[in-house]
Amino acid sequence: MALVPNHAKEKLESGGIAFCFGLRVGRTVNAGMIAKTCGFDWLFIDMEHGTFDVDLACQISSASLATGVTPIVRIPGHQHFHIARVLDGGAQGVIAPHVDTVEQAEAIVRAAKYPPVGKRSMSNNLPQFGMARMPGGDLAKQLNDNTLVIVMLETPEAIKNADAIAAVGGVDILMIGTNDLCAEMGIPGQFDHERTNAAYQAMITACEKHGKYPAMGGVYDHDLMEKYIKMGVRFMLGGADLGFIMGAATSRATFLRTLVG
Amino acid sequence: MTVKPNRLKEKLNAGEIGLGFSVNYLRSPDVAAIAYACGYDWIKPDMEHATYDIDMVSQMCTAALDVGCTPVVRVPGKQHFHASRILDGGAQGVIIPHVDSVEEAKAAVDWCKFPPIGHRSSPGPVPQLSYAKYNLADTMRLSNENIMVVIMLETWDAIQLADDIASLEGVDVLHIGSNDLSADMGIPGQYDHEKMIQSFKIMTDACKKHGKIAGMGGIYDEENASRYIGMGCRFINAGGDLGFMTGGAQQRSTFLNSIKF
Repeated sequence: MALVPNHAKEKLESGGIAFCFGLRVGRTVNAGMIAKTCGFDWLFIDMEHGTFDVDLACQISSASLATGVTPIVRIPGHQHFHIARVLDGGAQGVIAPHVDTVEQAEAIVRAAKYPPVGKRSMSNNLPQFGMARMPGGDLAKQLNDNTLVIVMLETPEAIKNADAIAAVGGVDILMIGTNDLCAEMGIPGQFDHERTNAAYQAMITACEKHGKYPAMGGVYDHDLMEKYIKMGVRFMLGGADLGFIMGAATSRATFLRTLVG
Repeated sequence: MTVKPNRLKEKLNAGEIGLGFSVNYLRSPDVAAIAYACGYDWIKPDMEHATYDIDMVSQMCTAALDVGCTPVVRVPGKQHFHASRILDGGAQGVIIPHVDSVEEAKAAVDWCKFPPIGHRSSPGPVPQLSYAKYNLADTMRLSNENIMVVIMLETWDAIQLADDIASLEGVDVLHIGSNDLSADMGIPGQYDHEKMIQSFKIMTDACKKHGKIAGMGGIYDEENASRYIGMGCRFINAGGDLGFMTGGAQQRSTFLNSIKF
């Protein structure tokens, strides 16, 4: 059984942008199918701000593999078990929030990659190989190449360290958590502020220098999404289930109430 | 105050519109809070077209009681246990789909209302009365007042029975299932068709004559929704979580994929 391709990674490598469909309230294994039908490249399964446990995150991830939508889990902490368990369960990438230092980024890579790159513990019969048993060496090499490691920069300190973090081998993507970064900078919600701009510029420059991909999270204003894409963002949260439901439901209710004479 | 108010019923009795939020995808007890925040008056956990079991739907209903967004469940079949179990579990209304005879409508009242109106079995403490202990006569009277019976007419033959069904004591709402009715009449999705207009006329006339509420679902465009609200429809199924989500998500991905970079 061949390795399931990492569609989001392939899209990035071919010069495209990988957009994600976020899961906050969805609880069912049809998430990948829904994201595919709606035109997205990867699933953002949020264990930081959603209530998913490892079992549910892995069932959704595993079921998503066959749809071609890449399942990626945002972990709630940096412990090795947060990372290894979701990767063992079918995720094709992890997003580590609140990474401020090179040491933190290195520890995340160690937990996400098998030796010789890192220290991830070996297992087998993985969903990423269609549950087939693989020779250990092949498994390690292929999954090390296939698994995306994404670190989130969410403080001024992290932005200051962007260049050094981008230089860490095994880190694929740097992502700004725009909400938390702006809050930390004392400009909450000001996604078009010059200091927000400068932070994006610093991250994008660091990524270009070290051959990594810059990512954006938390900005859903269309003008700003376009602006940051044109600056160089290539990996992006496109919105989440709860936001889509509430946005469309509110518009519909408002519209129907206008029809009552 | 231990009787949970049925805010939908209060609004309908005051001549106001009641907007409903169909639940086919979400799986958590906060569904009613989400719908309420979006401007809805009732939720409709759908046991006809979604995979929910009684336990999950009852949790959604019980949690809805303190939100002010009335839980009204569509049951999957025309047996007493579908309706009675969901009412024991917290629903304040039952929607019975595909009612094709006066006898079936009468049976629905029997399942949902206690004597002397119907023959619902006595359940012990119920969430709609805050699990408070009442004497049996009060439990039956308060529950009968609190609970709504909604009969769906979904064939041309059923429409012809509208007057007889509306005349039944214990039936609160007659509700046209627009999709299935139009399919049955050989005009699928043609909500502006003469036979569709005629069907709504027959149903709304019957409701006016017998002091019942007229309902509709599945029609969201301005021309048709305005017409049927203008004819008197007040119990409105305004859309569902899955449709809101996929619609919003598709719009977003279309925009994002159109950005030139």
